[in-house]
Amino acid sequence: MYSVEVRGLTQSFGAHRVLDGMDFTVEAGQYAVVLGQSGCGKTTLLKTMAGLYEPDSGSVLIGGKDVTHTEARERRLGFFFQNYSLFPHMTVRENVGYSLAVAGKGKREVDTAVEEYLRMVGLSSWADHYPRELSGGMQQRTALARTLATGYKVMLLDEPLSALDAKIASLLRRELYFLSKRLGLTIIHVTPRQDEALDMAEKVILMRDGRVVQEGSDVDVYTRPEAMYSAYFLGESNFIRARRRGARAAEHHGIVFGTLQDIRWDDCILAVRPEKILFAGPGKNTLGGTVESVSFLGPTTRYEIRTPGGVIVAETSKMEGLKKGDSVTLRLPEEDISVFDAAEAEGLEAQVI
Amino acid sequence: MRYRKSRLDAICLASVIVFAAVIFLPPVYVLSYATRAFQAINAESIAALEHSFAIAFIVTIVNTLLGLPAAWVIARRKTLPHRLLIDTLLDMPLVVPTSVLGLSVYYFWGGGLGSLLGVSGGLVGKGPILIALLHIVFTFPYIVRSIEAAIRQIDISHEEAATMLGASPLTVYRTISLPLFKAGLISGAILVFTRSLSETGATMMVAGLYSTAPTLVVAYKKTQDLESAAAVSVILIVSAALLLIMAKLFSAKARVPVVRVWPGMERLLSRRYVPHRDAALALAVLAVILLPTFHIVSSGAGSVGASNIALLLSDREIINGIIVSFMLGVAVTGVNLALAIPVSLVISKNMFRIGTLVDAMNDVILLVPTSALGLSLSLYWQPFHLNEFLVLALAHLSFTFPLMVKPLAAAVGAVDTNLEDAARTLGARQTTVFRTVLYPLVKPAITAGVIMTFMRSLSETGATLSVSENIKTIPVLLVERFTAGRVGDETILACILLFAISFAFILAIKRMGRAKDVLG
Repeated sequence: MYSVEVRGLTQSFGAHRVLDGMDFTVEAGQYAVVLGQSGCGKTTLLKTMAGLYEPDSGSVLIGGKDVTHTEARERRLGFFFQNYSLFPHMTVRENVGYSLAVAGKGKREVDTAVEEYLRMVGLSSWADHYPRELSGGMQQRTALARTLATGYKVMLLDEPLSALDAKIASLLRRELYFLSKRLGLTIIHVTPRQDEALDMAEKVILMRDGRVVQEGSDVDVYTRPEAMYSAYFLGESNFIRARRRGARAAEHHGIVFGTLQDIRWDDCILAVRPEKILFAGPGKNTLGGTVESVSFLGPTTRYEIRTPGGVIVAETSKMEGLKKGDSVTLRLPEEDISVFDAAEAEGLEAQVI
Repeated sequence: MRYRKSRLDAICLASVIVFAAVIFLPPVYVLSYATRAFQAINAESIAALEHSFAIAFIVTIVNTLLGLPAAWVIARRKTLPHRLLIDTLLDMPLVVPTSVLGLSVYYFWGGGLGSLLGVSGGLVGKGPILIALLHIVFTFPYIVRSIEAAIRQIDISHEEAATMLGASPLTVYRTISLPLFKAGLISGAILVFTRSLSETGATMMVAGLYSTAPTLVVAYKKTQDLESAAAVSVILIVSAALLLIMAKLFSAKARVPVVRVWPGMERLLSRRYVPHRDAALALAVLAVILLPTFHIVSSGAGSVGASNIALLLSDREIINGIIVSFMLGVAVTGVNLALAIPVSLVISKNMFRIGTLVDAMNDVILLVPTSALGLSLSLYWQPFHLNEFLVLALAHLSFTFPLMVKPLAAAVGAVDTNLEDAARTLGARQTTVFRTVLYPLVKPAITAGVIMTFMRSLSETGATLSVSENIKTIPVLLVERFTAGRVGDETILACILLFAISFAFILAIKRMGRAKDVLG
């Protein structure tokens, strides 16, 4: 098993800097998800790591060995293309066996391996079909089998589930994860979808404008966002503009909220996840409002509460029995409040009240 | 609404009928001589046919070998220095009249190069080798453009995928790229083969006593041996058609062996020869294509002078030739454009369910060698006793029409029909839809078609030689003067003038839309 390290990777196309000093580490055998909006440089990151693009600066280490100047085909990295890139003029069998054929393996050896990987992805009976004859899900499996058949231990997956409908995608998500564990692979999976990151990642690498915003376990990044962008992009947050009123206190519309975190900025933003907000009586860290809308989501119910500063969203699994127009008091537990510099809100489309 | 639609239908139907009667039938009329033709076949005809096929075959092989890497470099090497200039230069043989090219190639191989290397006399004299060298020059752009267009359509991630699966560059090229642009390669090779098979005027210049099938048709026509001329024409058309059908079948069936063929050797080759390969390619293209093409400009530059310009202006024959050629070009382009718009609608929208048929009819016209076409046309129109200029114009209408209609039909077909539907739901009438939606979107194709039609009409010799007796277009005049040994400074000057016009047109093509749209 191999670890993967990316150090200060920079990549520009003309005047446009796509990767701006990417830094992260993925442990051997870890399933890492690089999460970021479309256009943030995810595909460029993978292609530069793979050696398809030459970086301006920085380095890529596989299993501790610097491969920055090694040719793409000699890096032994499996690459899964977003649109699958199945060779249209080859059958499923020929696609899956391609890496073995070009490695000079004998026909029998290639055939045996192809059978094995097709069985693994459940496509044994489709070996002699062409890619165009397969459904989207089957093409995805073929591409997966083709990548796995290389026998490489590090896989770069470029939005492997994006072209599939939601139901199949969530099914294949599980399969992909367990397959990677069974084969002992190190995975770097890029996606713009936070549900994939939360479901599959042992490590989340949150990316924005060619840089790493935060890396860590999914729980860490979700519960302890280090940047407003983390709170905004992974999951949902209420953002409340406030002014500093002490080392661990800030004021919003005449109400002072206490935090556990030190506040270093005069203008700051408090972030609270909707499911952390409690319905409670008057007391510390509370504010009053009226229920504006109620949506029943199945396991939880979502309330939009009109407060003096704006609308706050709260989500709870308890049946509160509230109706539109009811007056409520909300409590924002101090341990669940993250504090950010107000300047971080610039350029984000987040609702700030 | 209903009224307008039916009027459009009527216009289209009428255009197709005119197309069939005036453009399509005349060139293939000679086929009705098929039964009589077989009795008129003689040893001379068979030898000429053999020459033509052998030359076309060799030219196709050479240009495939040269065109494959050249197209690859043009399509893929983004960092190529002077890329745009090279791109433009490569298109020159496509638009410079073949008779001018004939002169240039003859002087290059027959004199210029020899004196450069210190060999007295020329390296290559008139005959089959010079014919092949000439054909290599003017067919080269066809294969390069055709392959290049196909390469540009390849999704580059297929090649990246192969690289990530461990394939060396040469293996990627052979197993992924080549199969994906195979169709472009084959259609390019067919264009080269059929163009070589049918070229007449310039071939007459460099053939000497050697005859190819098209030059023999002209010779028979001159001596009024119409039976023999028809025999050669029929065989030329039929065998070219058979070849085309075979090539189409072959291209559908052929599969490049993909699995496990010398990956080790290819890895080695990929590494070692890259710099040598690029240098050799550049040298070969320069020596075989570019220098022969431009030789007449560089060597004839000395003849540009006040006295020679006065000489040229006082040469009534040449001045008349230029005027006739331009009049013909303008007339033919105008008529073809008017006819091509409705016919391209029929093809692209498969109206009356004959779109595919009409498209195939255009392919057939392209296939007919122009000297055979000229002969066929004079046989077809003979009973009508038409004026010579009219017959000449009709001949030019026939062989240029596909150049106009094919890119137009492709462009119309590529327009998303939802756009037209959207305009209609917004209240636009049929004619308004055409004017405001379709026309702006297909304008580049129209411009390209107009330029190609005009240039082809301006430079054609084979058909023109076969149908005209008294009227001489400028390329025909060049052929005549050259074969009669009457090439003076004023003639060279006329060539340079034609070269300059061609260059202006190619620049116009580059501005409006790429030449590959026309070829594709």
